Amino acid sequence: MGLVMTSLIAGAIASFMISVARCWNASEELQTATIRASQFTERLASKLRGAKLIGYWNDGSIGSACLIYWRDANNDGVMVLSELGAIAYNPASHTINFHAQTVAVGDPDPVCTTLDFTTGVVATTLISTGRAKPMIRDVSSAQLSVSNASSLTVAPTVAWVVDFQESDSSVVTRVCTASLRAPATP
Amino acid sequence: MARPTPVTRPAIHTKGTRGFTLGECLIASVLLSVTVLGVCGALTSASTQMDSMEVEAYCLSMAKQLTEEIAARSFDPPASGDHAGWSAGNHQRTQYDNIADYNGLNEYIDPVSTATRMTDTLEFTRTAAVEFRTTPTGPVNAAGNFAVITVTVTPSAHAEPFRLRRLVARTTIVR
Repeated sequence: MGLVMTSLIAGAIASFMISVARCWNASEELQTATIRASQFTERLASKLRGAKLIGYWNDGSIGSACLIYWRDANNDGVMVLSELGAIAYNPASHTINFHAQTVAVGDPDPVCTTLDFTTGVVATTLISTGRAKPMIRDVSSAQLSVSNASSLTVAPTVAWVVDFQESDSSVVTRVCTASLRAPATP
Repeated sequence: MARPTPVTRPAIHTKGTRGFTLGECLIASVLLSVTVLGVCGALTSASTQMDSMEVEAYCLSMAKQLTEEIAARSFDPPASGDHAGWSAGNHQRTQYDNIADYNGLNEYIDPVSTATRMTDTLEFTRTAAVEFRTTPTGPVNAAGNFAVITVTVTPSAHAEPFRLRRLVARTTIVR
């Protein structure tokens, strides 16, 4: 009888502790997702605030979401490879990476045409050969939308919809938005 | 006939082995109930708080998204080809070309059909107000050089309306 009572009490305590642990875990995962999304929003804004134009972009419905932008660092109006940046989702590593090509001093900096910029030729080059730096990790899926991408009157707004897979298989979705502020014309 | 020899049995030692009285059982039950109710109350409170936090985080995400979208628009309408805003009946946000177009915006975000989380099952109302002011904290003035963007996201349950404000100034965004 004593063993039965002890087992019942131990079972009740164990289930209570499991419930509390699950609650803590879920709360922590939620907070982590929110903080990660906020960090990504800030990083995205820091990249895009000074950008002039958005070139090729893929919303992620077919293939991985990615975009390429031009930040005219020296304000000469000439689009060169080192001034371009790509932000792309990598489903293999579950990260959204920033890709850029660095050009050593003295080396030629290839000039890119508008066609290359808008058709994805340069984006593919940057993503495949450029230095990749993770902007956010543990993203289970990501989609992208760009409003007014080619507008000459309204600043384009980039919105990444990122999903985080939780341990209970549910998905937390967050929207990370940033807009371009630099003039499109030199 | 001989009398049977009486069987002698050892005396039963009853000290300390008696059962519980009804009163003791009742007191124990009441104490246990109070304890269980207290624990359940704490768990329910924690669960409610977590739901509320999740909804508020989602509301913040939605509010920041719309605030950023509005702030990306021009302060003043274009010199020509101005599109009407929400208040004038134009609900195509992609056509909005200045921040005032968003004034009065009121949209519903429906629950997700393939819901995996609690927030997916809720309906959200998102509203926007744009007030022009002479100074950042001054009175409302349609010709002011400042504007306060207020975005409010109201969930159908679990949390209070979430409000986000952003101050913008008259600047020309040259594209």
